[in-house]
Amino acid sequence: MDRITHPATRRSLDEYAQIRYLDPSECCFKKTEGGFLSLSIGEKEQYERVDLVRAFPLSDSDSYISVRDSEGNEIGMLESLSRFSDSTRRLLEEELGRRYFTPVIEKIRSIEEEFGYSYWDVDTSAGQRRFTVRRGHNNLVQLGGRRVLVIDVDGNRFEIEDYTSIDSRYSRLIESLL
Amino acid sequence: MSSGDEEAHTLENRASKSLIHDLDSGLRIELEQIVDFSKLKVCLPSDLSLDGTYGQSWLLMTDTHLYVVDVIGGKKGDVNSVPLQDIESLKLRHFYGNALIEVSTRCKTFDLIRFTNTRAGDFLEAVKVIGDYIKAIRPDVDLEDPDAPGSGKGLQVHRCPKCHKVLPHGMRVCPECLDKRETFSRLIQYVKPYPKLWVLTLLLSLAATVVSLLPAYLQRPFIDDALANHDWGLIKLLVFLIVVVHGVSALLNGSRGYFLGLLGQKVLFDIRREVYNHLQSLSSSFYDKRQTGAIMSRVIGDVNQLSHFVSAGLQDVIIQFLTAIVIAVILLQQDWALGLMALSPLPIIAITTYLANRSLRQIWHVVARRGSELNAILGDTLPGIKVVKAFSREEDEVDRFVAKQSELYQATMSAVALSNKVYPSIGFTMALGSALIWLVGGYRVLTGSITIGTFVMFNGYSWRLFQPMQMISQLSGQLQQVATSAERIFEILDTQPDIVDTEESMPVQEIQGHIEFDHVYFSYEPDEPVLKDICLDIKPGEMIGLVGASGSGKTTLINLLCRFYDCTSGEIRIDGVPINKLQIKSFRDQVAVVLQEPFLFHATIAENIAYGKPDATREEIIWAAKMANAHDFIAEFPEAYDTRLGERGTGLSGGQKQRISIARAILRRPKILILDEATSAVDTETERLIQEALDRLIAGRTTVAIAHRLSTLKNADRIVVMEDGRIVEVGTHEELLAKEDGAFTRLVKMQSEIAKRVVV
Repeated sequence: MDRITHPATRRSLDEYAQIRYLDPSECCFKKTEGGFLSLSIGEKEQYERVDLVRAFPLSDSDSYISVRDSEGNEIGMLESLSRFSDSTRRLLEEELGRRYFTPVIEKIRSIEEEFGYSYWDVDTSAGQRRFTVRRGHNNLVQLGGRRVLVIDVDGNRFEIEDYTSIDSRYSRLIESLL
Repeated sequence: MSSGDEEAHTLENRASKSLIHDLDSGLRIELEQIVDFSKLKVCLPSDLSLDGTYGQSWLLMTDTHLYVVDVIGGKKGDVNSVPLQDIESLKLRHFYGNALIEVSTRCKTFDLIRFTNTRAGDFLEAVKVIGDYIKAIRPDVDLEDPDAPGSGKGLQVHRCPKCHKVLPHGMRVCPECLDKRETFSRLIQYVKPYPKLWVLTLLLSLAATVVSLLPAYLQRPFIDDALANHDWGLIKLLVFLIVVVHGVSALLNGSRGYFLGLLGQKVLFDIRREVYNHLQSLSSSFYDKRQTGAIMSRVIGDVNQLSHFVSAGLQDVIIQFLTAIVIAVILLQQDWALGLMALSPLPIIAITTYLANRSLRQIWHVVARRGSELNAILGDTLPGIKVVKAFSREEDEVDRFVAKQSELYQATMSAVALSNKVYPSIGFTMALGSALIWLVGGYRVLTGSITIGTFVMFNGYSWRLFQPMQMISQLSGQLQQVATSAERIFEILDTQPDIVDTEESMPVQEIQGHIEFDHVYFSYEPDEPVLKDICLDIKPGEMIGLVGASGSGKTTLINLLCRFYDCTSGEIRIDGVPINKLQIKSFRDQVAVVLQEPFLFHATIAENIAYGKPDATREEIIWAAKMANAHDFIAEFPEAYDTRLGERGTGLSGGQKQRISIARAILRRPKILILDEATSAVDTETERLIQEALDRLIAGRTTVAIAHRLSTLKNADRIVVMEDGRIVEVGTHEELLAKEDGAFTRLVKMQSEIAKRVVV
């Protein structure tokens, strides 16, 4: 394998490795007819369709968002949504909302546990839903404090904002599943 | 010898006092004709004769001669003397289970004295002293230094001052001589912070005990007064009383349980925190010698045992004693003759329970051990099932399992047999005691000397006596268990970290990264040097590739550089300052280590990257990941940097784990980088990504890398070849390859040979 070892090329490797933070004033996000997001940076760079990926979807969902082209290569990162104008921000949030779907569980109708699986019937911010969660395997994750992320057997994600206060009948059961 | 001489001699030899042992006075008088005792420098007993039988002979050195004196039946035997003038070389040679000193004079080489390993430490010291002395009087002689520097601190074996047994490594107290009472009084210290709680629970316990004795007492008025006199009012009153008593009893027991639990948990919390805190401060050498599982079981199991004892156990003991005494007093005071009769089975029960428990405990020990052996077979063969099948050893494995299982079966059955002999017998003895009360009590009721009520009450109390008796007889076993647990915990707490800051330790501001190894020796075990005379000067920013066969000391060198250990002798200097004069934490802050086996914690990816810099911003974390070629695969995960890794980073491939651990090192922006390159094969693309990441990490930093990849070696400014604990070659890649018969050339040839064969 031919490898790059010269100090000069090493420096260029470093440059390649720098994260490119996109300047809000140069970025122009637009919604395409198909409902996708397009991006142009300055005069030269044009992307028909970009995807947004959160680097910290749980701990800091509105900062450090990776912007990727349709091939999945990173174009650059947005440091914070708050630095964009309201209209662009709404556009970005809409796109993120499409990609990240984490309904918040508002009311627990019932949870039954049997043989390593728990069967949930809940009302969420997106409507009523039944799902099954496998015990263990990091399927209930405490996100600092009392916030809990629930991942069901199909990989769907739900959020409980405060498991201790959502339903006194089930808070102990949820705690045992954590 | 006059007292003045004696004093001079003591002063002169203060440094090497351990080398002068006291001779038996008779022997000394015999020897005084030959040996000038005023000039004695060394006087050591050996425990093995040259022909290999245990016995005593002595090595003596004066300013002119070495003497070896055989002792036969306490008397002087052969004396062999060697003039120091004649000695050309002096060597201590280690063999299997014994060692000897070999001396060469101008005309011959011979074995001077032989001894077992027990005495080898002293003799090694002696060889040094003798060698130094010969060098001092005859500068022309070139005596070789003994391989292991004997005076190094890692080499001392500590012995208990009382019983002279060797203390377990790093322990201050001798487990053999440990005063059990001292252990318990030390345990009590843990309750001290909660005096009110302890007294409260004790009072509650006492009250509960007294109240629980009342119902039996109420039986007498119920039978004698209420029933005998047809007193309905009294019956109602007594029923009311008994309900109240039981109610109060429940209340007392409940609150006692709650507060005991509270006390227990508080103590548990304190001990466990203290132990874990101490574990974190201990040096790596502590962990080398112990299995992680064993340490874990101490932190969990033994601590549990202790806290239970300190809170509940201790009170149980007190209460059971008191209960027994109170009942005995009540019985004797009611009717001393009948009382004595009720008490009569107690000694028998106490003794049999004590004896039975002792042998039962041994049997249960065996059962537990057999059980864990059975477990071990499972744990061994099931993960290795492919090997078992590949060598078609299924049947043998089943046989092995069955054999172990039948051992377990037999052990368990003997426990079952014994316990079913003992406990029914005890029950029978109790019944006999009860029968005796019936017999005598019944007779006395008939003669009218006691009432029916007294009889019934007696019967009730006599049964209540047996429980405390049994518990007290089990006490010694429990105490033994607690003492063992306590010792295991205190062993940890008493172990001193080898590597600690002293008052002279200097904080490190910003280091340049200049590393010097100056005649460094190191040994993990006494007398077995792993590193010998390492001298190496690494300039700031230089990259050193360490190569050598496994066991050649590469990893040890790195361990010393991280200051996981201190060198046995010699010195490592960072920017000219000895490494052990630097504050440990501030020095390690400048160092980053990428280990062969990347260790990731059960936490999110972001937390793992920021492990070496907990206050890192998210931007820094992303930057480090990008530099380590990890950003892209991390962003592919649904939770990206918030992805929670399983234990030890499960869920990631080997290459991914490596890149995360590289990101961790990059984020630390270390001045000194220590790299233990992975040997494990990854695909070419991953290899390229890792190599790129490493290149970025290495750039501009003093790097010491155990290198396996040729690419890393080509990048190295200098390559250091190690063999058997010594540095054998140093030079650039080209320089070393130019040496046709060099060690590096040999290594490279060997590797390419292997590579060829693998390809074919």
